[in-house]
Amino acid sequence: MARYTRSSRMRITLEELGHALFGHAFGAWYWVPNRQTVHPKLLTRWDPEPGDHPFVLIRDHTGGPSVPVRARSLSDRTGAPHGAHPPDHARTCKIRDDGRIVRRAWALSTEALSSRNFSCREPDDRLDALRRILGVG
Amino acid sequence: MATTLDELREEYRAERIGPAILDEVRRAVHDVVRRYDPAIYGGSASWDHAEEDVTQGVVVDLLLAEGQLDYIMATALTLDDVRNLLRFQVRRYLTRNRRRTVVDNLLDRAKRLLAKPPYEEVAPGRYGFPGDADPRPPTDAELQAAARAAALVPRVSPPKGERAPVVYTGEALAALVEAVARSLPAGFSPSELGKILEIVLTDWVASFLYEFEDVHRREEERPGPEEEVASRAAMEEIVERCSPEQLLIIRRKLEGASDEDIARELGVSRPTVHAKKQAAFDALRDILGGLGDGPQREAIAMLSMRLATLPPGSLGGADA
Repeated sequence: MARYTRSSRMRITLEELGHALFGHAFGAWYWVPNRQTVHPKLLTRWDPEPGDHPFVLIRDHTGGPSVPVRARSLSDRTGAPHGAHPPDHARTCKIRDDGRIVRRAWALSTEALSSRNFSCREPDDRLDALRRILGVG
Repeated sequence: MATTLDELREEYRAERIGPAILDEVRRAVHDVVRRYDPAIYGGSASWDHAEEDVTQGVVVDLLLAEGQLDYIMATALTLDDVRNLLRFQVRRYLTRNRRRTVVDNLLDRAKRLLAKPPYEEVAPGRYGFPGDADPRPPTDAELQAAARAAALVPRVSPPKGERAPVVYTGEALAALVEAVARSLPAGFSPSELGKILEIVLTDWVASFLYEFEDVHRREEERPGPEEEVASRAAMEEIVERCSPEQLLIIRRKLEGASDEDIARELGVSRPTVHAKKQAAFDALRDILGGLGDGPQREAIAMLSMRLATLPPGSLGGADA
């Protein structure tokens, strides 16, 4: 049998297909290395330390270099509570613990929205709740 | 540098090839090679690195070994005659040493497919499905669209030590040719198909070595015959459960189109596209969720190959 390589963009998993379909949609979660969290206008990182942070798209991204997002934190005390995603949600899901959506608005460059960084999409039955938390839609 | 035919003849009589004739060969090489792709004709990324090799090759292989210098000196009546004959010899040398590319090999295989039904030569040197469209060359935008469809077709890795990688299985190449034919109903020439392949394979050569190592690491993930059957059944179920419009949306998303672009193409709102996309993905998740990683990838590869051959014009409008 022929062997398909990763060079073929179509040799992808369901999660990667999910990224292709929903990676720019409201509720898409990304696990972004801090070095890629530079705000396109402020030109500063979300966190200067090594590591990574989860971010969620707060509306559909339809173009432009700047993507409005909100970060999620396990240590923040002031943001809106956001529950862990169900264990069987998606194989690439990294939203595994209860946390909070940080109040501070942020933006990422489109380069951060890569399939490598893609975690998952907010579960369908929780999209409306996420909209309420974020005060959108 | 020699400026007269007499000077060249004198050098030829004295030592056959000296600095003056060599300068003329270098000039001929420099004039000619710039119109040729250095990767294909010089085995180099740039002529800056390969011109001298061509010069030496022309001198040794053609002017001396084949006696072409003797012929030139015997027949040339003017300096321009010498220069024209040298340029002719350079072109001969380049043609003789042309390296076949991956695209050349694919085109040879594609031409064999195009020589048989369902394809026809719709105009001299142009191929496609027989139909009503008047044969004409595609626009750049149409070529790009055809390349996007062709890019959906999965490629294969080369076996270890392979010097002429196939890139596409027979089934995949047939799907690619069909995808191009459907994208270009006014027909296409082999050279236009070559341009499409060059667009599609731009990343292929650069990633070759990395992928080559990677695939051997992942060899244990290759699906066996039973898993391949399961993957194909899953793909068929997806095609059956999704409407043509949903399939088109998946295809356009895999091609990198935005929801807005798709909404415009289908004449529906963006939320409608989103809802259809969600319904399609739900079906995919239902069908593929229980499969392992390898069969899942295999099923999606098969699906993308099927999507590539969907006739784009027949899918707009309402769900079937």
